Amino acid sequence: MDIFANMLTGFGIAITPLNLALCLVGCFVGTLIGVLPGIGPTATIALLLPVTFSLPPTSAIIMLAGIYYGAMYGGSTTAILVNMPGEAAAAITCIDGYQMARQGRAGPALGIAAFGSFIAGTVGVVFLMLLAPPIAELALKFGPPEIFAVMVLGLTILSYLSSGSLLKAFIIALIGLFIGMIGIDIAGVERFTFNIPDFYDGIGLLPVLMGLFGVGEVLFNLERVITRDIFITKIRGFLPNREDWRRSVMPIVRGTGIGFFMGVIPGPSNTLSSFLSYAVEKRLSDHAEQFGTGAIEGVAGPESANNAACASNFIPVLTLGIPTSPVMAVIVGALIIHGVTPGPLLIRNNPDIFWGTIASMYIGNIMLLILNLPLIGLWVKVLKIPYGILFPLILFFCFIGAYSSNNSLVDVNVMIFFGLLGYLMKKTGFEPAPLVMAYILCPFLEEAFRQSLIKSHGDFSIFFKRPLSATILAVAFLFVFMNIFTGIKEKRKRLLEKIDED
Amino acid sequence: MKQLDLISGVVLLVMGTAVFLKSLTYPVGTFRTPGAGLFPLIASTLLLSLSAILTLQAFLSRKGNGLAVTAFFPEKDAPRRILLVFAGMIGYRYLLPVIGFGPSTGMFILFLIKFLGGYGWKMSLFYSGVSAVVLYYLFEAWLKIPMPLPLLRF
Repeated sequence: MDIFANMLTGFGIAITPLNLALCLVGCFVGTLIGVLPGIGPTATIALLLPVTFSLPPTSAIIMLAGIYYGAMYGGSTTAILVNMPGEAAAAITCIDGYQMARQGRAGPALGIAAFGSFIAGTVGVVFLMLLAPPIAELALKFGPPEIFAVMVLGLTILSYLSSGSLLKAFIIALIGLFIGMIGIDIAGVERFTFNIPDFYDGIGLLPVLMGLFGVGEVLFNLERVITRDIFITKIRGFLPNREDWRRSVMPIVRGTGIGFFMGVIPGPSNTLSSFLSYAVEKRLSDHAEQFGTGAIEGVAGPESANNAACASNFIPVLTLGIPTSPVMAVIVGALIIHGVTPGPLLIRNNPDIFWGTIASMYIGNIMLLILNLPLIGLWVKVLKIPYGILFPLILFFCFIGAYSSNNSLVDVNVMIFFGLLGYLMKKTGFEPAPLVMAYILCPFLEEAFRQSLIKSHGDFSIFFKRPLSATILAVAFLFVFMNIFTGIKEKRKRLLEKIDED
Repeated sequence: MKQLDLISGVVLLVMGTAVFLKSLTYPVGTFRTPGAGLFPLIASTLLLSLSAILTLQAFLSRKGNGLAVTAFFPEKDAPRRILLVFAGMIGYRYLLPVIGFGPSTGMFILFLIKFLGGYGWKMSLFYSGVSAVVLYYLFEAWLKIPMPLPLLRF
């Protein structure tokens, strides 16, 4: 079969000493920046782009891709150990992963995250290889109404993610939308910028993330005097036990499917798919009440989803030349800088890049598994540093992360502001994740919304007339009503109990 | 929590109104030709509705319970510590372009370790010194992240 022949060529390219070394470097650097709070793959890939100028295009892409999925692995490590996601996609892993760590089960959490990521990543690459052409065709059928509907669904699923109230989650998501609207819109109108030139391009994601999750968390921890470590971990064994595996198998399978499918759709699919996987697992679980207190499914599913999405993120890039996220955009930029034209002709004109990259992703996944498990001990030692010394470093990394996205101190101001906001939100029962998601989705959401209206000549029913978007929106409404319904049921129960008592 | 919800609700109502009014100053367009102001308008309307519900809920249940209000800060010293962190961060941010990356980082870490980390002067100076040097080499010398040139150069 053609595919096998192509894969053999790909492997032939991927296992040259140079490319193997670069893959390893990429994976290691990726994991490192994924672990380190305050720096992410977009910034790192952009920073290391000049380093790749002297390399052939295939080698450059192999290294940069390694950084990308390495960061996915690394982001989950900090999410689990310090409740700080190195990447937005790891934000959901914080919920149960951190709780598991607090219960002394950081080892199995990290282990299942690593294994789940490996399995999902490898399976994801297999599917990438097989399904790239037909899936690209299906994605072309997704018009603006469908894209809008999918994002509304994603935001609605927050109802299952908020341990607090659905109302507050929606409110904070709307705030996130407003933050996303800051800047010059598609039509060139400057919105909510307060005449600050630095805001014309919008507020950067990194300052928002660093502020909300990093600074906000540190502030919350510092309310209490640091007399000893706030967080003490005994990592007993890195490997998940049989019970953990039994509970994680299906979440990994489902997460892989969800992640892979969502990764093809333009937008922040890693984040969306990990959130969706969490919601699905919670819904399907026999122990739904454990979610939020250390359910391993809450780690296995989302981690698999975001790694599978990583693989399928490359489909639109490699087959259509369309980046689905800022990281992919930088990678497309890298291709262009190296004189390669991304697009449908890439597979024909530069098969070495196409198949070489895919082959290196297999290898990269193996490398990451090997890198991650033994190095967990290293990361744990790093995090055993007393909090009194650790928190200034965390704040510093937040600074650097916020600063380096645009080399702008205004971004640092933004980060400090969001730190305050994040802290206040924690105190008043508003969770940061919906805000972040809405903020990320906002430009895509609004564009899809406006395009849909233009397409339908102002008719709102376009969202409900098209079967695909109607179905997706129906599912979204279902989530909302189920949540309200269970809320009402509970209130009725409590009221009835009170009446019984009297 | 209910009193906090009431305050949050009111704040959100004010915010929602502000965004709503601001959105009207942008070209809203029509549904056929949506302008820049349409999406914020719809979103702020939603925010106003939801915040109104939140405020109402908080107001109604407040009347019912009258329970003890949980303290906003868990410890007496907490507000001071929070303010110290902010002072540190703002100080760092404004000191950076004046004395440069290395020195300002050192001072930032020193300030935090000494006044919030609970360490004495010797340990604080040691840790902050080591960190400043390592971080300088990592970020400015090796990764070559462009830092603003300091006004006072050493």
